[in-house]
Amino acid sequence: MRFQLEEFTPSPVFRKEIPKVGGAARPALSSADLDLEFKYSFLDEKGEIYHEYAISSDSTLQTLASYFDKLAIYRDPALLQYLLKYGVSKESFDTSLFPILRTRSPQLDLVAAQIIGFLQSRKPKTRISLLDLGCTLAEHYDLLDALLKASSENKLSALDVLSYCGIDQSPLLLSVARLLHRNTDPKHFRLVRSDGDSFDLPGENFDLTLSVGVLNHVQNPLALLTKLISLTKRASVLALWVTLDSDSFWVVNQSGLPFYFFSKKELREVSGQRPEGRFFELDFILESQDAQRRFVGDLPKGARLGCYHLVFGVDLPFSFGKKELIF
Amino acid sequence: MKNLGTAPKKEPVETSEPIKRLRRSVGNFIYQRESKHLLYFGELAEYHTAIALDLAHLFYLRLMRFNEDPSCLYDLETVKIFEGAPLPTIGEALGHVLRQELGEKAETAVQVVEIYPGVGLTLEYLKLMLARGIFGTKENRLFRLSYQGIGLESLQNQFAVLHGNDELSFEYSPFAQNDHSVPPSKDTLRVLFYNHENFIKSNDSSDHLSLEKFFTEKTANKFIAMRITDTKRKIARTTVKGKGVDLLPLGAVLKQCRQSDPFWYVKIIRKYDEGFFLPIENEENGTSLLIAFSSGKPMPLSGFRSVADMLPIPTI
Repeated sequence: MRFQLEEFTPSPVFRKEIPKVGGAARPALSSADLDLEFKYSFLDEKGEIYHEYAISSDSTLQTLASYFDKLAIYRDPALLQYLLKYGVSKESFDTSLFPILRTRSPQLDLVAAQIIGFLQSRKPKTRISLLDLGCTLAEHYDLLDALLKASSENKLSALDVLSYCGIDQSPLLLSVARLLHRNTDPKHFRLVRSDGDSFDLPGENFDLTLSVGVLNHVQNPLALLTKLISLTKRASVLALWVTLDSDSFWVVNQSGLPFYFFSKKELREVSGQRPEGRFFELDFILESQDAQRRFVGDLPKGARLGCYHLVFGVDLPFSFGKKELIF
Repeated sequence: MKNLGTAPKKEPVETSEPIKRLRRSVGNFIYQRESKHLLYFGELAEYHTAIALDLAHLFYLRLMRFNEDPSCLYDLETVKIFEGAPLPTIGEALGHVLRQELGEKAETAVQVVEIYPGVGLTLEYLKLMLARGIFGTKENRLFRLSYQGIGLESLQNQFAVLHGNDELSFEYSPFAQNDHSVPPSKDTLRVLFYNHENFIKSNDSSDHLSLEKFFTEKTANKFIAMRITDTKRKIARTTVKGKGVDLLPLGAVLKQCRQSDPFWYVKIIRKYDEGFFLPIENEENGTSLLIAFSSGKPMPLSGFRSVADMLPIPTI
């Protein structure tokens, strides 16, 4: 018997409305209400299940594979050669040779590299301290390494320039991150395990902080954002999912976990705690325009939602050519 | 809907076969608990399905090598999968052959050559065995060990990232264009491992090394991990990835073994991962995994059967 296969995207057949709730209330639909199955599914011509093949449903393994894939590309000598040839810029990142450079995380690393370059030029002999919140495999370190090498003609690297601290909640991912960065100096490459905002780094703050999407799915997002900004000396580079409507709310994401949409009012409150700083809007990607659907169930009807790419800057002499976020 | 095409077949086993049309979805299905109400579907990228478990297994072994207990870091179900995987059996047999061959030949150079190494689980297992002193201490090792993986060019960088700057030297050689031959052996004792299981699981549809060619290789120490059918004749099967492969019955494999070397030893993991193939209606669909090695001389190993003793040719 021969098989003719067609790829098929199943549509959710039943969507439970998620009530809109404000503040820190949890979503009505919780991960306890859900069964997650990673699998191959085959339907016959009658629409009945012909065969199923399960893949491990341990979502940490999927995260491991996903972020290792990124890290391997960031370490590809061909990428460094490309960046050495074409430079480190918005334009060089817009390439079909390395499509990953067009995606969210590298775009924010590009901004982080710009800030590191500026800070490094002011104090060349001082390491730049970097806090990476939700670091997974510390792959940001690897792209920043490539960007530093490329912009200095291989004279500088992350090993020389950065004092890195990565925080993540997964012991497995942190262990693998450590294995993948065995050549680093433990004094300048630290990994800390923490759930949400419970981490404790007494007496420390960081020249640069970085968090891509992680703040939206912790126990207390607002407290963690506030803490992150309070630990930031010069700049914080962020991807934050935000509603442009008045109230924040929770939904459930594709991992079956609660996911929080900040309100702009909350961003204003956080900013107000550091009056010397300003939020700059690098980009705002409407959720409806994002190719990747991230949420289980319906989002509130008519809601204006999206992901901000932001920099919170303190006494930075440039605005990235972007406007200050107006609340 | 994207048409994935009909699974390719190199040698039709039957003519005028019926075609079964199926719609395939690969991804994250989220249901309302204890119901079949689908609330969410998210497609999974290729790297999720292809390497997630192998990567996790590799780091599990590496953590063990660094004297850490990895079991608490992994989901219990995942640990069970690792424990049931063929790798420990392959590693045990490989270690057995290396010790037997080289126990009396100190300072010998040994090269393990693996065709279709995947993420390098065999290499990682070799490193674990070295660290555990299976082949002697670091100062008093029985031989100089090196490793060569021969695989897809697209996986070369990934392999280098995983194994670079580690404790065992390795080469990764992409399959040469239009050259399916195994590179000539260097002046070392070579152990050739055809990881046919990785070939089956890969998306590569080219047959870079045929089984016939593998069995006629001059290397005395050959290893193979391959899927076989539980039927009595060769059968064309299709993997869940849509790749068409021909599976041989046990008897046909044993025949090739006997023709190439009188000293083959085999172990069969029955019903191993059968769901990886689409079932054929009204057919016997059983598959097993065969792990075998040749040694050029008697080298019995517990759990493995001598092919010479397996007459008449058995059926599973």
